[in-house]
Amino acid sequence: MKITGKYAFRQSLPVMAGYLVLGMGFGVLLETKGYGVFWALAMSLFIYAGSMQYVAIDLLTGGASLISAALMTLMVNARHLFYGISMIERYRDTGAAKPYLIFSLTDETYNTEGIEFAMTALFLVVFTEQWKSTKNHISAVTGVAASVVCLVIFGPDRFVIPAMAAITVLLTLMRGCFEKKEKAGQKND
Amino acid sequence: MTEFQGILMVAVIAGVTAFLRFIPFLVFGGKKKTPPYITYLSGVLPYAIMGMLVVYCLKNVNLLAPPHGICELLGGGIVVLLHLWRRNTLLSIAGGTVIYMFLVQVVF
Repeated sequence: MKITGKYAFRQSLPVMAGYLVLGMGFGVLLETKGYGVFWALAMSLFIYAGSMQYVAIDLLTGGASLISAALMTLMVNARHLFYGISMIERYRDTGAAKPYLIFSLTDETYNTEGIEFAMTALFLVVFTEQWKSTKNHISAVTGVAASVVCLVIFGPDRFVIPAMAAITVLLTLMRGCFEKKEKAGQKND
Repeated sequence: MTEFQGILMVAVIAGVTAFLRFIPFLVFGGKKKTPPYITYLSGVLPYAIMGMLVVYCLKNVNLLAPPHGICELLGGGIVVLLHLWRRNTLLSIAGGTVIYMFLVQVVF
């Protein structure tokens, strides 16, 4: 099938609809915290990462330090590292468009009191989609379990870094059985 | 926080985000093949990270004090159920959020 601009536009419509809702929610929430249109525009243009922008509102209003903001961004947006990895081959020959393509890598699933729940809802939707997309749930369960344990031990403000470390260590240790499972799955095909 | 500090913070967040986006291409985008360990991680990490992000969003929920997280439980449950039913991102987010806002403002 020939991929035309028209086709690409139609495929992206659901994502655009999601972005419109999230974007409006973001703008409204920012406004209630005392930050106006300039902030909403600048953040959406330069950060261009919806979930991070919502977290940024917390950071701005909570008076977090720049280091905390940097670390939180590393944690929340670390998954972009891995989007990039999966796009390396696909973006190889894109020439002048490459920087824009890289800049605009997003979750793509975008796909006043209580509206921040939209972010929780978004992550739950992505989590559900991921769950449905594979039979092997070890990684997802590891993520949730490690995070809950770290949350209890370190408290809400400090658990993310230990959780990410624990997740990485656990997944590395489990690499052996993941790949055994892959091989077993292939033998049965 | 002053306005200038706020601008600095947005710049830091934007900078770190851009760094995270570009670094795989700078490190691995060359002629060499991606190391198998990185390929493995890129396959499994997204699931674990999304699990962590869900926990992160709910980190301040106090299960011991009323209302014991019931708004989040019901709101989140509606999100997941709606999504399993229709697989429509917009519907799932909007539906769950509306229920949550209703519960938080009117009921509890």
